Amino acid sequence: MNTKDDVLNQDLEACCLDCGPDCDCCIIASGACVEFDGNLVLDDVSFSVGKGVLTALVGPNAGGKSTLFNAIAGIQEVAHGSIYVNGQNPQNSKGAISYIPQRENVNWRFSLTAEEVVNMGLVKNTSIFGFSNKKNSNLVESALERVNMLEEKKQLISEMSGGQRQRVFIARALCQQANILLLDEAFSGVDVASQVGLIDTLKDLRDEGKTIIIATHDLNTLADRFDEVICLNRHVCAQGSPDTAFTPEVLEELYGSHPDMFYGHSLGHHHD
Amino acid sequence: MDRTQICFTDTPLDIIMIDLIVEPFKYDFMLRALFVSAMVGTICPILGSYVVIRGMGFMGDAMAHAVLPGIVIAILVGVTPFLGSIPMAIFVAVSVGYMIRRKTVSEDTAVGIMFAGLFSLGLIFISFAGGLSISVEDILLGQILGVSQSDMLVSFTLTIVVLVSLIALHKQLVFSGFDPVGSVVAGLNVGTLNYLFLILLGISIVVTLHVVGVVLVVGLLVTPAAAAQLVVRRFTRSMMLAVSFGLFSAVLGLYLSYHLSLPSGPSMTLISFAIFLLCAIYMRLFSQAQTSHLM
Repeated sequence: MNTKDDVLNQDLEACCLDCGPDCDCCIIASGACVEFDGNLVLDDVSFSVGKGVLTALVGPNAGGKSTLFNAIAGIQEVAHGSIYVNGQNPQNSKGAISYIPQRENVNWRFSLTAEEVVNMGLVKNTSIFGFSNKKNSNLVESALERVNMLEEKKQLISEMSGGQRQRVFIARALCQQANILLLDEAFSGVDVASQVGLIDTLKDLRDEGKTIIIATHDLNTLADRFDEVICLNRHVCAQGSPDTAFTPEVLEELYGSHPDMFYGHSLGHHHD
Repeated sequence: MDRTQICFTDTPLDIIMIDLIVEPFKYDFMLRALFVSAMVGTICPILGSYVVIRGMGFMGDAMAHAVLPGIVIAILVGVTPFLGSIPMAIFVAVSVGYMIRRKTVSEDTAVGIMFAGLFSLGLIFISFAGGLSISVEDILLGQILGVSQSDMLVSFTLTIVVLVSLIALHKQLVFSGFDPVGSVVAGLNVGTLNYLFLILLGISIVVTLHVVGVVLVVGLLVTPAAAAQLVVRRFTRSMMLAVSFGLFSAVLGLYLSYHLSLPSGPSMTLISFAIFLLCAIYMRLFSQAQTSHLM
């Protein structure tokens, strides 16, 4: 009988057939299906993302981008198939991932300074009474400095621009010492100049070995910004470099009409 | 001397003021009332700050109503109301938390169902019981002047438990309230945290019931915090201002009820309401001044 570890190793080996013997994938999805409120939101999703890769997750609204993030982060159950993060079940990988939410999913009524938000990254590592100490304060300041936001540390995040907010959240991820960053609609409400600065910061982090996936709608600048792209419309339509992934067929699957795309897929039938 | 007939003739103003302040506390029951009012004036606005910013104002009101059956049963059995209200508050907190977590129904609906069902059960218990050893008005509107020594000690212990727990959980509560998904991904056990918060809320409501009763709890829980958040933007600072408002409302309300023979609970909540109105006016004028400055 296969143990859980055997199954995991088989999955990793399956991935390595694509990647070669030196595979260092840190996120692997294999036939993952997610059902939500009786609907099949993700259907037979398979992909792998290597360590230190900056990836764009593109697809239409309601294409399952946020659901995939939730599944990777271990807060959405996978009904069928599997997802592994750093070789582990996502449930056991909490803390290794930092999730940077969509603007709409943050309660902006909490008027917190940039410093207070970044401090949240330390919440698992501080004592139960969590009072600030010099070491934590240094960690927060160095994280803010990395994203060029140290001077704004006392500014309220609710009064910042979209780009500045994203930088503060990235600093929080640095404080958390997460090696995977998931950014949900990171460029929404961010002006073009700030987007360029933001992507430069993310490229620096990528070069240090962080694995970064950004859900985005903007297809125009993908080639300049990302190493890889995953095209998602309930299933993975394509994965590869931005230059090659967007064939006319893929774009039609993503944004055109595609009635025959999910032929044979329905609730409870996941290519068993 | 009748306390409502203090003679002010030929007495210097400062002596009159000192008399007005000190005179009520010649009585032990007023000292106990002051002590419990100060505790409630501190604890309610702190918890209320989380309640208001998370948009859970209705939850506080509903939980206060829902503990009524526990209070009535304790009075009928002949034990202190705390022995009925504390388990009831924990039961309500866990039930509401479970319904929200399971997403059986929406949050407001879950709270509304528990509120209406359990408050009605409490009223039915009262009607069956016939004569209670405590008046229904005291349960609904509070009777701070009837606080006993043991009530005071229990309230003090519960207040300390709630305050220490809130200090320990502050960072987690702020994180999970500000960014619910991000906090779960970071590894916080938000489900347990929400249960703990609801239980602390339930315990604080139980302590507050003596002071303002079932009906007016929300006046000390929500109003000072809402007023503070109108005028101070930073969350932690607004909590401190909310405590000042809560303490001021509770203590001044107690004085007014003593000197003017008014019911204490409504006096406190009315002052809290007046502070909210002043803050709203200040906010309105301040924001208008800022807008005209920019134009």
